[in-house]
Amino acid sequence: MLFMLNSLETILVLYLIKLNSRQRLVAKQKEEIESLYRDLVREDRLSRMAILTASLSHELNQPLTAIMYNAQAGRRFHKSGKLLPERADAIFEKIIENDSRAGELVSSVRDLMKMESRGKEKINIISVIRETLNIYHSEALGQHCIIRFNQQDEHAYITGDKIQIQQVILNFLSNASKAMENTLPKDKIIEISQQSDKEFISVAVRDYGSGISDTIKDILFKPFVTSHKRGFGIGLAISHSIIERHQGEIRAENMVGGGAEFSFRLTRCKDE
Amino acid sequence: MNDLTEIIFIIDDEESVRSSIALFLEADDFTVESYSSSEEYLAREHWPGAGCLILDVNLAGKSGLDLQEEMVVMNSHLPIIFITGQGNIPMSVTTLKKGAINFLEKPFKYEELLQSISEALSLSRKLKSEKQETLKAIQLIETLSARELEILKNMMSGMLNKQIADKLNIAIQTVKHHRLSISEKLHVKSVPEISRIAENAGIIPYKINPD
Repeated sequence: MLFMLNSLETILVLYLIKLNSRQRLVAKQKEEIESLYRDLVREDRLSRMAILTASLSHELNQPLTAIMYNAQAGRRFHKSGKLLPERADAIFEKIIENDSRAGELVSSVRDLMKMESRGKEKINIISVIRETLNIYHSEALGQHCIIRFNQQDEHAYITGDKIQIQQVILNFLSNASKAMENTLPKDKIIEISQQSDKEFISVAVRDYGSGISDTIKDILFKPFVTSHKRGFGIGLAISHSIIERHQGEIRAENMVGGGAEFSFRLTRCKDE
Repeated sequence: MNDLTEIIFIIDDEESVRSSIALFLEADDFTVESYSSSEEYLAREHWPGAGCLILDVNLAGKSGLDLQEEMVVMNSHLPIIFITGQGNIPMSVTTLKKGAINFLEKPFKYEELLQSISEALSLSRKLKSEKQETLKAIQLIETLSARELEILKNMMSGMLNKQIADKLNIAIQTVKHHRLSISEKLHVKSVPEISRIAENAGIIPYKINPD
């Protein structure tokens, strides 16, 4: 086709072809970076879940034990002819309740273990926090930490990727319990609180541990910065990037009275 | 509750587990009490009858392991069956060494639980009756006079009347008289029987002076 064009037109066409391929190259590189980022976030999430495996099985064993012993109790009462209708009803109720508790736990774990995230959707921040606390409950107990949850607003919605937000909260929780490794048992308290106003919703996790040292204070959210003996210092960097991609803000500060608080703030979903 | 009542104390901060095990045991006509923490259990008045504890390892506040330590120090007659959702072998070895009946991992089989409970209760009955014997022996020994107690301690170390009389600088007849009074007060005749009561009450015999 080129032979039909004059030289100037030929140059122009060649230029356009080159420009096009260059744009494609840039787009391809961008895509590669994006995919690397997704891999990294996923790896962090999966390794976080791997650490929790033992305590998750503990968490699951509670309802399983309850189901078993309720059913056994029912059978024994029935055998001895003492299974009154109200008692039978209460037993069935307990079995159903514990079964759904086990089911919910399994489904939130499955979500967090998925290879791909679900993308952005409208989510209730309170139920996201609760689900995360269910997953983390046994781990906290194993570390002898008590978690207190102060919620302010049952109807606080944001637009975001649910499992990535959970990932950030899990990261905050595990940092908090690590920071309190040397804290006296009675002071091992993690406070998680949610606050909201018309425009923003924030979630804060406060511990009573060693606080953030001055040496890493300003570079806390950069990769490979850590004060833990174990760990690569990647968790907070990933949390930072997750919140940034949600157009939010992430903060860390030392608290009066000891310990640190990590928090993030996201824009409130308008159409509630 | 009468003298033969036996109580199974369940201590677990997980309400669903606590109440389901309680219900299961009630179906088998056991008397059960449930507590959500070690502190809550310790606030209960001391239970003198036979019984046992079904104790969760990982409790917030005072853990199950801490409570076991305390029970050992208190010389409790209530054996412990540990339950856990997240146990490890070193932990189970430690608890068993300290006298725990068993270390059960949730969700444990009910046959295992019942077997452990039956072991725990029979041990508890034994410990309780030993404790009662001690108490009875102490009460009997307390009726003795200071002089009688002194003679008793010498008797326990195997000294003859003559030796005791010489040591205490009194007449043999007086020693014999005290011995008669001791055996009346303790309601037994032979020296081995007297010694057994004294030992149960924790009386330590005098060491024979080599001189």
